[in-house]
Amino acid sequence: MSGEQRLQLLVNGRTHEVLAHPGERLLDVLRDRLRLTGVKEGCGTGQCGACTVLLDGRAVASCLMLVADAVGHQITTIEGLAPPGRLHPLQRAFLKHGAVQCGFCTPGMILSAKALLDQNPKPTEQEIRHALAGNLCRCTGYRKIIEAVQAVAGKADRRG
Amino acid sequence: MKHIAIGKRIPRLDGVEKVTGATLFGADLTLPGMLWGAVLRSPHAHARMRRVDTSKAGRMPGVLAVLTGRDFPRDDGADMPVLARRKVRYQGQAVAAVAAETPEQAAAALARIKVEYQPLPPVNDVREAIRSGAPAVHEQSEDPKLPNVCGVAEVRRGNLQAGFRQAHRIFEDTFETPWVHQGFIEPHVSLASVDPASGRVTVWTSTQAQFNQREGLAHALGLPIGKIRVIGLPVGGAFGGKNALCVEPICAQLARRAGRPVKMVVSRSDDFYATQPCGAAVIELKTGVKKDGTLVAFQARLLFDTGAHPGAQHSTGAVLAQGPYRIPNLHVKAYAVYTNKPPAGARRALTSPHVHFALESQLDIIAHALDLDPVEIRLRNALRKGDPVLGGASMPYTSAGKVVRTAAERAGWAHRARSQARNGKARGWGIAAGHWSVWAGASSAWVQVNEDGTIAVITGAINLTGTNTSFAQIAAESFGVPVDRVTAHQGDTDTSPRNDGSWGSRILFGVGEAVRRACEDAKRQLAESLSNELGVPVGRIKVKGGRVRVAGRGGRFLSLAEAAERAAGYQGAITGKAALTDLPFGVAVAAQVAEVEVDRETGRWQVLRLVCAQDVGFAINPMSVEGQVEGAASQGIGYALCEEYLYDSAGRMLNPDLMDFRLPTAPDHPQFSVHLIEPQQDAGPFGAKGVGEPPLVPTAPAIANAIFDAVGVRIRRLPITPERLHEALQRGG
Repeated sequence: MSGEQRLQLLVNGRTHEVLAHPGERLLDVLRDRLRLTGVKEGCGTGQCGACTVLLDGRAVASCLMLVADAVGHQITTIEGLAPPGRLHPLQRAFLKHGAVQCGFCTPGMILSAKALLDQNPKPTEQEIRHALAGNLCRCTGYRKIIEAVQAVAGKADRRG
Repeated sequence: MKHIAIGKRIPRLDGVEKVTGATLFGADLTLPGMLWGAVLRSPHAHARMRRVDTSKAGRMPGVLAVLTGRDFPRDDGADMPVLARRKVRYQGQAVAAVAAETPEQAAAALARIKVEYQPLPPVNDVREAIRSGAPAVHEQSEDPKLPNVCGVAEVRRGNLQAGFRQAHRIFEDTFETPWVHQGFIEPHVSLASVDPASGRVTVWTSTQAQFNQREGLAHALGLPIGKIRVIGLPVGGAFGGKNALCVEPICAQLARRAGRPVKMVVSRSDDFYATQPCGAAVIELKTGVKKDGTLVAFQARLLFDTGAHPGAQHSTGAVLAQGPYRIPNLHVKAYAVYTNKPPAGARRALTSPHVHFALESQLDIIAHALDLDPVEIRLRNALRKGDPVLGGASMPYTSAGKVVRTAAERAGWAHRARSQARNGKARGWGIAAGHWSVWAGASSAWVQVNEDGTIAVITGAINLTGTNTSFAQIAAESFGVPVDRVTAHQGDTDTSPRNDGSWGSRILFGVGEAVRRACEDAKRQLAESLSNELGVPVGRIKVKGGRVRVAGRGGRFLSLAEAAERAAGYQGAITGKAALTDLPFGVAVAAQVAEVEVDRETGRWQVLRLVCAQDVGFAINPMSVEGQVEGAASQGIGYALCEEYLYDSAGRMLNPDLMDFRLPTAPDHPQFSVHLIEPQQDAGPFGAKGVGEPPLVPTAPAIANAIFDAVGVRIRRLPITPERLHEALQRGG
């Protein structure tokens, strides 16, 4: 494609140099160029939350962000949440509490939960529900997701 | 009885790959040389097509294939064409398709296709459709007196008129349910490639039903089944919406034309317009009842909107319309009616939620009119053990009353506070029940005993809801080994035995029983192999508790590993097999109590608590069963609260996105409590039966009844949006 530029992206603690049009969506660059396919697309309009990534620790919809706007920020995807072969406490809690069914919303849901707990380590149930309001889950009815987040919020060390 | 593997809360075996994002869904796959397919869709709900000109599109850069309706062997009758010919019958209907090197080139090529339409007046709803003189969606009607009817189903019992004569009072009410999308978060996706030597087509797709897809593809492409391989992928939610073919035939035909693999990802808006959502219904009930609440006569006319093509599941609605109740005299007549809407498809529990919204709302109306407790009227009429259920099933082990009573008791119904207003908000309680018949369909499994004593379960069932985890539990229990000695695998149409789709709550029930029987077959083979090798009568060899006992003089135990290694050496492989179609129905009843809070000023409401009781037979994995109950009830909350296709008068959808077609979010959800009833006697494995459909059925009417209890306003049309409730409150009901 014409107009491609060399861009430096900080993803999951590493610097990646990618050739991309600055107007491409961050979602596409992560999925297609860096093969980070844990970032999902459910709607392309910021309404479902499946494409959630962390930008400097904040949960953002990567389908609504141009890649150029992500340059210079720390991006975290589900693949970077824990070192290879290990699970983050949120990932373990989602498994243990049955908070995963089809798994399509799960990466975005876990990242939104991480953003919440990093900002507010002891959230109330209502605060958890509101923090996850931008992430749709059609399988679980959310109760087991809330319980998983509560289980982790009760523990001191969440660094995985 | 103490179990080693079943009845335990075991996390999904595929859970780690899901929480780490490693699971590859359809959109994540690529093949070398892959092209991108795209579809041109009709902007009109109803129009004649005069001309389709693709000449310019075919010459666009990067374009390798262009298709129109002429490129498929099927004719354009009531049968659903892959690409429209002569006429379009709903907005978003596929008209033409291209495959190109990039998605941008495919989109540019679509823009150069010229279609000349002559718009026709659209048929927007079922009442309009059956009026004489209504425009015809198709040329023929199944009913000589009513236009646009494509199917009629009737159920009769007893003597209806005699029943009405016995009645103390007769209630007549009409209810409406909307068009809704199943709401899966992963849009439809397909990838196809063709082997140049054999012409064999391979399709990777997000489907509930890979063997049914193979059959449908064979029909659509004019190929024998043996020329097609379908590889079912991990599915990002389906709920009935991925039962049927979507873009797969287009994708496969593009790949055949281009000689290259083709991938298609359906956009969210196209997934609203042009897949197979759940159709609307208008339900007219006339019910005769004695003074004490005994139901004596029931007449129902059910108008199911099937959209542009058959698929509304009207006969299921006819069979389930009487609810889990004894009604001696009844006549139910259900129609599937064409309109210029998308072709209706399946949604969790098919048309059971439609008919139960009507019946359970009307039972509440009757209870209030006769000054009966809403729980009492349900208990009085509930199906009892052994009662026949329409459709050929019967209530084998649990009465519907037990389920209703459990929900009421666990919710504290008898001690509920009367609705109390606080800050302009009122609280109310509602109860509803519902039923569903689980049938096994074609179910099969292979069980391989590896030479180290580990066990592999192989089925062709799509692992939608974690059934593979339950299969591993069933196999572990059968052999008496821990679950971590078992793996469970979803094969494809080339590598696993044939199965019907993952629908109707049938997988654990039917395929799970096949897994159990295949384990018994494998154990028998193991015993026979050892019997031959050791020269011991087979009756003295027993596989139990994770080891093999050889009885008699010099009796001894072999570890399963040792026995398996010997058997592998002796007869090559131990592969147990089972296939079945013939289990008796598993009739499943669910009941729920909702407590809601309604803001009288705004019409906004919230479910505070939802108490769910269900006869599940036996919970092989209680955590997974609870997940099904809560997830289904969540869909029921959306059905009650906010989900609805909105159309303009030209038949164009007004809300094809997830902001305006809202799905319920975490703050919309209540506290769930789930109470499982486990008689352990159903025909599924270890007494289990299906669980996924029933808990969607009572949710919306339980909520509607609770809203009535809170504010005294009866809403007969779903969803009960704040606007609709506010308007009704203004009118005073």
